[in-house]
Amino acid sequence: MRTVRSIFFVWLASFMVSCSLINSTRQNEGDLMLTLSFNADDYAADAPIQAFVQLQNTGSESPLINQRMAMNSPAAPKELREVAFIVLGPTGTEVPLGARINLRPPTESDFTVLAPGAAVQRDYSLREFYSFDQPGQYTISAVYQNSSDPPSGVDSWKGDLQSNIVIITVR
Amino acid sequence: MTASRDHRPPKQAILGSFLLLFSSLLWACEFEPSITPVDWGTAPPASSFGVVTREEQVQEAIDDGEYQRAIALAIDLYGIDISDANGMPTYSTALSDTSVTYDDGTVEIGSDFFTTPGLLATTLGHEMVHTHQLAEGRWYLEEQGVIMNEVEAYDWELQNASANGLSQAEIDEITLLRSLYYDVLTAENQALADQGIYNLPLPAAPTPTPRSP
Repeated sequence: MRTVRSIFFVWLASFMVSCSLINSTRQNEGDLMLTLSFNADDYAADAPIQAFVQLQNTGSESPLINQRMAMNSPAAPKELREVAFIVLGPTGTEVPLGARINLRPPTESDFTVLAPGAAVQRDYSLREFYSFDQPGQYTISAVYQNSSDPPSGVDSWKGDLQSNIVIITVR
Repeated sequence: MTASRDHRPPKQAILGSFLLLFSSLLWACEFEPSITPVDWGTAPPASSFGVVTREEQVQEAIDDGEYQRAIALAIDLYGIDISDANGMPTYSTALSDTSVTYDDGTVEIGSDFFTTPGLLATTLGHEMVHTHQLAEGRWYLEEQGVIMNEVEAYDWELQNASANGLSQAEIDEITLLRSLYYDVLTAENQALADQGIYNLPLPAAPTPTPRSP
């Protein structure tokens, strides 16, 4: 009975965090889509955990986007938080980012026109930034956002996107 | 017998004529102690005296693509305290636009921070502030604490901007980054930061076990 109750509370916590994320961000805003994937579903202890975040243009326009996709803490100001991960541990509590990230403002070369059908992708070694010491299932999602224009002042796409949610297992 | 007379001019007259001629020549040539004028209003470059500045040494390593050597030189020549870091900060090819301090005290610097020796030095100093926070039990886990940690690191950069020889553009960039973090502090925490108080009553990451020498 206690096990069933624990599972229910973990599920409830995950559901509530997911709902709050979806409320605060918009999935597939306009014609841009954010997809999170991993190099595996199941990881041995200490195995590298590689995440891939892909931003794809599924529409017919060609927006200017910030392709740097630099990772930062969810606590960082939005101007310096292009990609943030939300990692929930096996107990449903959020795993804090185990690093302090110093990021320079985006430059002209960080922006690119994303043609219809085109995509940009960046990979992240999550084990370097988050503790996966506790065995179990981790529920992970990513948020992409941009609020900056390039130094030339040309209008870029601004807003935020929520990725799909991925569950990985760490042994 | 007639006494012979000496018609030669006296020695004094010859000497006087020479002196007069020489003085006239000096006056005509406007002779001055130094023929090549030297403008001492601006100091000559240090390298002309055989001295290689710290900027030149670090820049040379950067230009040679020896980024790890540039880090070591910057730490030494700019006097950056790495006593709380977990080993020597390293150059990371994976972090182009980022410098990172991890919660075990290790530090990695991306290539974008090797633009100038001053920028490299101030970035190393920024990360060292985070290692001190970690060692002192002030590596906060909650949002306001994370932001306060960054404000402290940027304040260090601005306080040491002159000593690190930063350009005005570099100072402007650090000021902008600092303001982005400062603006998301609560009013109460902004007041603390204004006074140089960065300690908050928040949970912090455990201090890493000191590494063996």
